[in-house]
Amino acid sequence: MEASEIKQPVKQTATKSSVLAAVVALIGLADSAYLTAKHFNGTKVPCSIVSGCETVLTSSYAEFYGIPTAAFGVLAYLLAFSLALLTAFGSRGLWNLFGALTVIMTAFTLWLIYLQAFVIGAFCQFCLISAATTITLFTIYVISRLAGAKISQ
Amino acid sequence: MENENKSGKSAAPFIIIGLIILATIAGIWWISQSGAPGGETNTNSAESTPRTEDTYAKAPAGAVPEHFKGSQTATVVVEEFADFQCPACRDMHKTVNEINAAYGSQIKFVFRNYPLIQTHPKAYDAAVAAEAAGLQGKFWEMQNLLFTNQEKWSTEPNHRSIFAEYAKTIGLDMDKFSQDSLGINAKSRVDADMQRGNGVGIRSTPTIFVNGKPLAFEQSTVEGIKAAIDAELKRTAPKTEENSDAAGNNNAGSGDEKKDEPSAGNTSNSESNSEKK
Repeated sequence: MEASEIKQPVKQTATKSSVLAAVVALIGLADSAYLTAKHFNGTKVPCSIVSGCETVLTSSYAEFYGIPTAAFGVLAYLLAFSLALLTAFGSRGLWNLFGALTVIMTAFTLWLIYLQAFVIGAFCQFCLISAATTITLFTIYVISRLAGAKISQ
Repeated sequence: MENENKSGKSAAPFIIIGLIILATIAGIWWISQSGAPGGETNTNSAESTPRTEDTYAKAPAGAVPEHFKGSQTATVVVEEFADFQCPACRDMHKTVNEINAAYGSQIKFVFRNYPLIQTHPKAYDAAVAAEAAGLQGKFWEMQNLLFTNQEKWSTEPNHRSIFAEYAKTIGLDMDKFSQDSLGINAKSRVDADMQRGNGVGIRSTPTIFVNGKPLAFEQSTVEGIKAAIDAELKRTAPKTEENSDAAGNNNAGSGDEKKDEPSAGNTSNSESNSEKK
């Protein structure tokens, strides 16, 4: 952890945030990778009392242009993880790019939640985990910026 | 500061990223391959192991009279618990149609409503619509339309008006249908089925019972259900008869067919037409 030895508090905040963001992105990555695998797997799953996954994952929104929605998640989380990691290793300019990515991801996530709630009419926990990790990434970025701004004042 | 410069340009992050990408691809490949035969379904059937024939026998009766195909007096009873909004139940609908076509009056096939109200907000309304059609003797027609058009109505906000269209298609009295859709009769039938489902320990839909024995989901294919039915036909066949072996095959139905006629009188008139299909 050489990076955490950096003296300036601004840099330190960004580093801590980016390490945390990288970890959260990995959770999102594992989740969306699992959903992608389930999609390719194509196994028919019974509908459970507590999970609406089957309904959501077989809905017309489970794919866009033949690409599973979850695969977009995999790419987004890989990118988010890479940007956060590179930031943690010192390429601090990438943190803004990470921020821009989380804005796009959050917008997409909110739309997917809307679809589950009002269009498909069923929720899938694995999709909600992804929503939670995306919103967490966005929150981490916003907090790091606010903290950074305060310190630099 | 030396460290910082070093780490900023080092290959370490790229190696980590590369490893993560490889791990992701490997993970997706592994789950999509190894999960194929069962995966998640295994945990479901593991959950469902507490179901026994004993709990089945003690469970509430469900809606009376039940909707069935085949023969009232058949020795093998196939009972399905299903949710109209569940995609796996839509697939099971085709499977069950094949089973009914193959066995006819050798079996009694009973359909039970088990809408998963927590996850499928339209499933209960769909079950009520089917029961409302059943009050006019057209349960199976509505049941078929609901399953075959599942993708259409389950993503529509105004699903009730789509159900009304189906009711019109199958020639129901529309005033009665819309009253029954709101009234207590159709709902109480759905509720009775759900209580039975809770009693027998349904944890997921579709669940198929053959003479009280629950089939695991992965066993509930055309072949799997046939195997379970054949085993029961063999077990319940009178051993004195020479052709007891034939009872296990598909051509022993002629004797049972006649029993269907008087038994139809025991059930309500509104249903007897559709049952003989």
